[in-house]
Amino acid sequence: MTVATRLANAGDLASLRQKILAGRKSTKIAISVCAGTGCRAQGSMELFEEFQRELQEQNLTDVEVRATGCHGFCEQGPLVVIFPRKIFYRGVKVKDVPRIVEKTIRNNEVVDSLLFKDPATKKKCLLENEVPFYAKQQRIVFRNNGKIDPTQIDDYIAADGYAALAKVLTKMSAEQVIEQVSQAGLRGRGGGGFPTGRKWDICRAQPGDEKYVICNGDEGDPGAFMDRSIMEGDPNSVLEGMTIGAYAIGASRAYIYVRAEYPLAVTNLSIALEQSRSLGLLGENILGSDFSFDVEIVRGAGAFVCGEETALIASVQGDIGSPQQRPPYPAQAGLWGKPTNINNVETWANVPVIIDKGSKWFAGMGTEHSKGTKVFSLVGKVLNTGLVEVPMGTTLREIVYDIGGGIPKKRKFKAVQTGGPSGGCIPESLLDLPVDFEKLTEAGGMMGSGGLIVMDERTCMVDVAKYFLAFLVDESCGKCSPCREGVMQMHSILCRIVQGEGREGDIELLEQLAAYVKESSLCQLGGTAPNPVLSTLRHFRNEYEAHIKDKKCPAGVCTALVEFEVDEELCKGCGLCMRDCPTEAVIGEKKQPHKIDVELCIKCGVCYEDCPFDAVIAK
Amino acid sequence: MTEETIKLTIDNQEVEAEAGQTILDAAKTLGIEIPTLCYHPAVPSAGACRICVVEITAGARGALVPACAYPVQEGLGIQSNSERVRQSRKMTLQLLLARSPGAKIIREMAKEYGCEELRLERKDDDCIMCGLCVRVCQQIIGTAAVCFAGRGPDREVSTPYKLLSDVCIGCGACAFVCPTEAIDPAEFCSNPLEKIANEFNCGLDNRTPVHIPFPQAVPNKPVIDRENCIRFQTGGCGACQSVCPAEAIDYDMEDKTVQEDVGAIIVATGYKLFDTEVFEEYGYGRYPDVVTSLEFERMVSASGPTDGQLYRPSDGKEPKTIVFLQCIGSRREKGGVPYCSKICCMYTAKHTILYKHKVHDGQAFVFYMDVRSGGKNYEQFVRRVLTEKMATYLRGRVSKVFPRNGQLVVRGADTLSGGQVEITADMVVLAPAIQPSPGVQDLAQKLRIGYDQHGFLLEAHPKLRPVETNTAGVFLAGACHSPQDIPDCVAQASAAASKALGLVSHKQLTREPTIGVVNELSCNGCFECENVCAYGAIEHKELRDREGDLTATLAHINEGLCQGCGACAVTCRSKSIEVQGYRDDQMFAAINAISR
Amino acid sequence: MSEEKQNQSEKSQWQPRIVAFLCNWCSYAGADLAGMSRRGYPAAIKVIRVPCSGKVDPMFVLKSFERGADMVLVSGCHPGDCHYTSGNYHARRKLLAFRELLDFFGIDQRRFKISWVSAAEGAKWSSLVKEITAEAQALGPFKTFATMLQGEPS
Repeated sequence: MTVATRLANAGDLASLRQKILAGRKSTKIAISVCAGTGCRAQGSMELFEEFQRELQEQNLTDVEVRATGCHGFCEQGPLVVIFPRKIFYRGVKVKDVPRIVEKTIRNNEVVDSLLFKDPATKKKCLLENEVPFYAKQQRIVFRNNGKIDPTQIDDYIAADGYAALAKVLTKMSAEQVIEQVSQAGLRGRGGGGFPTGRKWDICRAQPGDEKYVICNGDEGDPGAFMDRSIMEGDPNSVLEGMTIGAYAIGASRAYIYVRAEYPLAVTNLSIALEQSRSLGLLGENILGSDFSFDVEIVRGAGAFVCGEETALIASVQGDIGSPQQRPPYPAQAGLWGKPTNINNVETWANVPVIIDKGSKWFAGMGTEHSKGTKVFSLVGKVLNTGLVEVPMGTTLREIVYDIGGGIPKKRKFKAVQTGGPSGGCIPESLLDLPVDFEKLTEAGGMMGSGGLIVMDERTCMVDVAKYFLAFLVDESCGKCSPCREGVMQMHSILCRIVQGEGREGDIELLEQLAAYVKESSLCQLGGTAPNPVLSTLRHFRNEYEAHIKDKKCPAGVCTALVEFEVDEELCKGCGLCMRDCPTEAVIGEKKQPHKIDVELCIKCGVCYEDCPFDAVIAK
Repeated sequence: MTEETIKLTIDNQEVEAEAGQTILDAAKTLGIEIPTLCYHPAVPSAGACRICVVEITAGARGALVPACAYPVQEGLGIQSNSERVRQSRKMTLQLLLARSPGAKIIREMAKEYGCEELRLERKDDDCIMCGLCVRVCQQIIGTAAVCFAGRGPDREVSTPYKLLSDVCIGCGACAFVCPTEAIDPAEFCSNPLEKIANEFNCGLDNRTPVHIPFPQAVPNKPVIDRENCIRFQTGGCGACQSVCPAEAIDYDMEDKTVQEDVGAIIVATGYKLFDTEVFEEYGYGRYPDVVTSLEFERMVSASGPTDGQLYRPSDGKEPKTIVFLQCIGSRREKGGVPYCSKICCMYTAKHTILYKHKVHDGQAFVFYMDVRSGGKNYEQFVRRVLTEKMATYLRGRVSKVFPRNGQLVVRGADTLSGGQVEITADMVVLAPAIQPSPGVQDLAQKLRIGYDQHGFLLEAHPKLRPVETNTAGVFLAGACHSPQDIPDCVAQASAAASKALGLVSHKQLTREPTIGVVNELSCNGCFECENVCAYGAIEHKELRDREGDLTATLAHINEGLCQGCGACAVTCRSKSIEVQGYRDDQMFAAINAISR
Repeated sequence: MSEEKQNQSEKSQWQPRIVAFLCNWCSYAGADLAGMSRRGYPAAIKVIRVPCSGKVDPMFVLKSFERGADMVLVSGCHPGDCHYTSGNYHARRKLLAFRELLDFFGIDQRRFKISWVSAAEGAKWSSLVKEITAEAQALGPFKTFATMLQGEPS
């Protein structure tokens, strides 16, 4: 780390970069340990310390150990990449450290057992980009994740960081910046997909000198963690994007709204703030220009609704996070009543690259109306879960099968739920849909912040809708009647249906309520809350009807409607189900087909999940 | 900016509105009614309940927006009652009805929209979460004693940490704006205001410090009771001022002494009831079910504290047996008043009928001394009560009322049968004597009119000048003169009014000629007379000679001011003042004539 | 018949003459009320109406005695109730002082009465008159001035 001296101008920044790069030899060995939250949870920090200890012990002082941001392939963590060869190790344990140091570092050999094995081809992958999970990705937002140490601004600067800011401050007018972002076709990555350039322009056009910029880091969708990864792994890219945006809009103060459940993000952002301030990349007269700007972190209490712009503003102001009726829009009267521009973390992180590489380059990726890439968190019934950054227009099939590796246990794909809790479910028939803002919405889903939950044939769509509504019931702020009461009533109808107490007319009532909540709610939480019901009704109406009319759950999930049976032809009598059954309802001899005692069965579904031969069937 | 007008169309009618106004404001100017729940004109809108949604059909993205919170925009086209709007409102009402089936306003609105049928899962919470209370407390009162807690369906209005609030000033603004009567500061205020007894309902219910004294009050406007007003007592609150859309409330107003020149005064100070608590034998004040006739009157009044339902004050049960006691204090030389209060016989007869109307299977008894039913149709009325068996009349007095097993025993004499009777009753109604209003003597002395030993004001002549007093221009009407029923009061008031009009309708005032005159030849200008004149009628008259030099200053009596009492005449040492009509020679002649 | 007895019989047949000055507003009205209420009172009392008890000049009292009155009564409103605000206070102060001087004239103070009767007090008026008439009867005829007159050189 260089001693912090204020950079007086863009030239200082360039020479600092040269100095850092000069100090680093390209052949230098570096061990990059993923310190993202997923890998940390699996012990990557202990791994990191172990590497440091081991290297010290062996006196290998010229080997660098780096704790980097999330690599994305969380399923396989902890992940370690050895530079310069970029050897990709997965599932590394502390006990593996001496082996890696001995073999790979000292002798440049590969530890075979730690390599990723492609389940499809059974081939071992040596390098990160040989792993199918990474092969089809195009990492722009995640350009630095896994490569740089997020707590070292030098790493960021070495990776051309703040070059875009320098360019903006020295060579571009605010209008040019907006023009470039507009031409790039960047749209809000938080879910709405509003053109970012236009948003900036509206805010810029508002009268008044006091304007605010906010980074929306209130990532509330269950299972979505792309914003977190960016904030943790590359906080400076967000700060740089915000500084450029503030310059374009004419704001001098900004807030980053992060949920308090992301302590690592808060820590890394704070470090980045401190470092960039000491370098003069934030604060008064940035890089010697007359542009001054500073950022403050606000920690939110983790309410889903605070992702809504007006609720977020209320929360920053210290009020209850409830949305306000618009107009006035935040761009007119937002934070403290002043024009305010809010963009999502991922959007901000896109900005420096666009400035750096130009709008044409950016607009070259994606579809007609959706440009660039999008980060998805791919989770659910899919082999390779993790963060996936692909160009807009990639089909769902590519994401689910090529990157995600398909459905485990060779089960059938049923649907993919997109866009978080208030998104929708897209059926198999639409798997070849190219993913962009419009196409997803047309199909009944939405882009949202980029959650992708894959569901297999053993997923009950009514239960899924109920699950998401339960989340939305809890997360509705409760301000307006449609959202508070309507979603609650829809949820209780769904509860009734899965309990086998569905009534004739329930579907119609659900549809009525859904249409009403959609158009009468105050904010977009309510406006999209019925989506899980609407999209499942649209594509899987027959499942609802089966629940209500036949009192059956086709997927065998809704315990009140299910009876488990053993298919005697398929059962090999392995006894797995017998061992796990909590009520000893499975009876039978070893190697003989088992039976389930319906009287004792509590329908917990353990046998159904357990059976390696799918011999337990739900009726 | 302020002069900016915006044109928009609501229900195909064009309207101009000011910038900053809402669709609801604009609709009001057109007379278009849009239902609201979470809206109050004095409180910033939230657009929370969504009952006021209207449809944008032109000028902006077609959507349902809340009229209360959506600002007017140039060229906006609004449908306030389209099918889409009605469907949305219906659903809102169904949801709110399911949440708060007990809320009257929701039931009424649901009825209006034809969606009273409950199709959804029911809760029983009167609060519809409109948030008016929270907004008024935070943004108008500035106290923030109540706030929202929880999210989604668990959202509730609460004090911080659900503790008793020591921030709450108990102003009750929250309860005032609440559309469903779901909030009561007494439940969470650590220092709740004492309940203020509603004087008009004899303290049977309570009122707020700002109140309309009674129905049909003239003027029918609220008043602030300073003794109980938080604003005046602590300097806080100010809720009424901030919610008053007419900005009619001015805390700096002070009581003023208003001086008016008037030609006539009509005294109509009314009456008070005898304090029945002094008669311990009847137990008033000790037993809650012993009430006065006035309290009973309020209880059975449809606009009274119980909406006309008759309940026993002690336990809220319907009284199945009721005893009316007449002449409580009236016609009682010792400890009471000797006169008859005149109206009690008739109103008690009425009360027995009202009681029968409320409690069909109830039994009423009346202890009376005499039934005095003089007056047009009065006797027939009492007769009807007796023949239709509305009540059993017992001639005699009651010696004691005492409780037994949750009821009251009335022990008295039945002089007609000659025996003692005991009636076990649920409720006892006393008919107290009528007395003049307190303080009427002071007023009488100010007006220089007479009153009797009971304090009733005196007429100039009981037969010939019944509404006039001995002071010219002062007239009497109503119970300040004597116990009177309504027809008598009306007659007397009409008479007093016409007397007063008769007095002031002439261009010139006729007055008695008996006033003092100064004999200027003998007056030496000592002005002793000036000291005794109560009217300031003595003037200084300057006599001058031809050169205009002052020769003497003499007393002169102002004919307009002099009332002719003669105090000056008696005081004058030189006998220079005579009262016309009572000159000394006239007086001596009278003495001569009489003494002979 | 002894002179004593004769005197007594004379007394019993003899009716005193009482001159009463009544204020117009209270006592005169009270007397009127007594009449209206059919309350009897001795005819010995002769009423002269004055606007106010304060209008009663001590001279009127002396003149009455001089002209043969056996008793003089001045009656007005109760203190505080004067129609003219303060006339009865003037009267009270003046006449009470004047009563002390009656001895100087040789007039028994008991022959001069002051009372307050309101317009509502018909009954009080009636009993007052009965009372003072009885007292005047007991005092017998007022002879001082008559004797004085008789003693005058004819």
